[in-house]
Amino acid sequence: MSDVCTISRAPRGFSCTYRVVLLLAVLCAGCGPATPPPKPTVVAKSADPAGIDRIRTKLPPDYEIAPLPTPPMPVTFWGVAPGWSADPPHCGDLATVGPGTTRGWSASGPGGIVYALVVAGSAPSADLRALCGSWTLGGGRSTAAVTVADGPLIADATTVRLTADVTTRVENGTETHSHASTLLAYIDDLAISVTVVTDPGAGAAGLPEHVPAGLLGNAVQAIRSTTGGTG
Amino acid sequence: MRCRRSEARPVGPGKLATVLKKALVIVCLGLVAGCSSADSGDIAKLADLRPEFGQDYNVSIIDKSGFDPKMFANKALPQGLTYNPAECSKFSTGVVLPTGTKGNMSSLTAEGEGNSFILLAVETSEPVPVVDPGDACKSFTFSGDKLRGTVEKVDAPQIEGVTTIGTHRKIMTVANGQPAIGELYTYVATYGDFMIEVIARPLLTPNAPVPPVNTDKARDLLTKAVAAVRGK
Repeated sequence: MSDVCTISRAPRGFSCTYRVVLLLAVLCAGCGPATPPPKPTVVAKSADPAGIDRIRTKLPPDYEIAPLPTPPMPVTFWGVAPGWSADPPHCGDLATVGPGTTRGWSASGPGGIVYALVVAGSAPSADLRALCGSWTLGGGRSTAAVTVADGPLIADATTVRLTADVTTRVENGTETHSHASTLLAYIDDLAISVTVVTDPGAGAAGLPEHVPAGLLGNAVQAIRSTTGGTG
Repeated sequence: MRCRRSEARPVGPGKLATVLKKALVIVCLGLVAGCSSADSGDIAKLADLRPEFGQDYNVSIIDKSGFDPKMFANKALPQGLTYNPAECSKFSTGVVLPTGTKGNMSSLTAEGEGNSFILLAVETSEPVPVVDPGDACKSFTFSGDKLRGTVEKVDAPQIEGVTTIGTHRKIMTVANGQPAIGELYTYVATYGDFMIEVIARPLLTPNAPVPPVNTDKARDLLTKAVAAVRGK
């Protein structure tokens, strides 16, 4: 006990007990609680979803603009009916959107149908990507085989490429096929996507390979810019 | 709060001071020990690792912000898989935060040279449990109708005062005859209420071979990220 009293820095004249109490107080004040419970903080965002509208001018000529089908999400654009299910189940998260306001447009022309969409969303986890390299989706009369890869390089954005081969049974027992490619870019708390759906049997040449990636890059730029973007 | 008064049982007046002093000494020593191993850090310092990635990398940084539970969700593999050995199924996912865990997180994503690196620094309201799979489950397989894979423990850097673990997971999926391979290297370091994680995977390009993962860089990043967060 005398050792403890010796190391305490209490003024002379205090009893050993008081010195120990004072030492304790000093230690308590110096040490404090281990770590204050972290408080989630919110980071201000400046992205403007309205920028998605400005990239319509980047489309090739002869494309007719229309509203997005509902519910607006890649699965819908692929032509798979609501009530669908994915296998493995979690993989469906890659092609859907969460609650919140959506904004975008569709455009049909000789190379297929283009869908542009911006909605609140965050990049899928690495685990989800690893699990969902190749998966299936079924709903209504349609089934889709989906593959996942990394998307085009866009500065400061995480990107994903979904490719879906969709088969739809029609009433006379035959099947129709379509091919869908969805490119997604995640910036801040937004998911921006460009989907192109083509009908391989239509005969018309599809959109050139660089167009969807170019549209996505333009969309990211326009949404990040609050002063007009690429408009 | 760590500071609590110890309760002294009723004793005679002469012994009271002695008992109280002994109790205080025990509490004091405990406090000194607690202070000497106090765990602290600044998860925002993860951004200091930006220079680790050259011009060939596309880097995005999310500064310290509220926790995104999605980063740690969706880890469960589908039901109905067969594990070999069977008791290893609980190690098939990465680190899973306890339900209700709150906190802040910083992240840095870098893509380049055929690889994607995700660095996460998390400060939570409670310590993150990391369970070593032990010898019995240091390497195991799982299989199902449409997917199969392997999970193996891999070398992680040794860092003083920090628990580290490395895991390599490889998942092969087939849908409509289209095979795909998902591969993840995960290196986790924990100390106190802090967790630092480096996830490395190959960048997948359609119709191109899967590039190898630079695991040396991933391990080095974990060591440097821990040092940055700890301020050492």
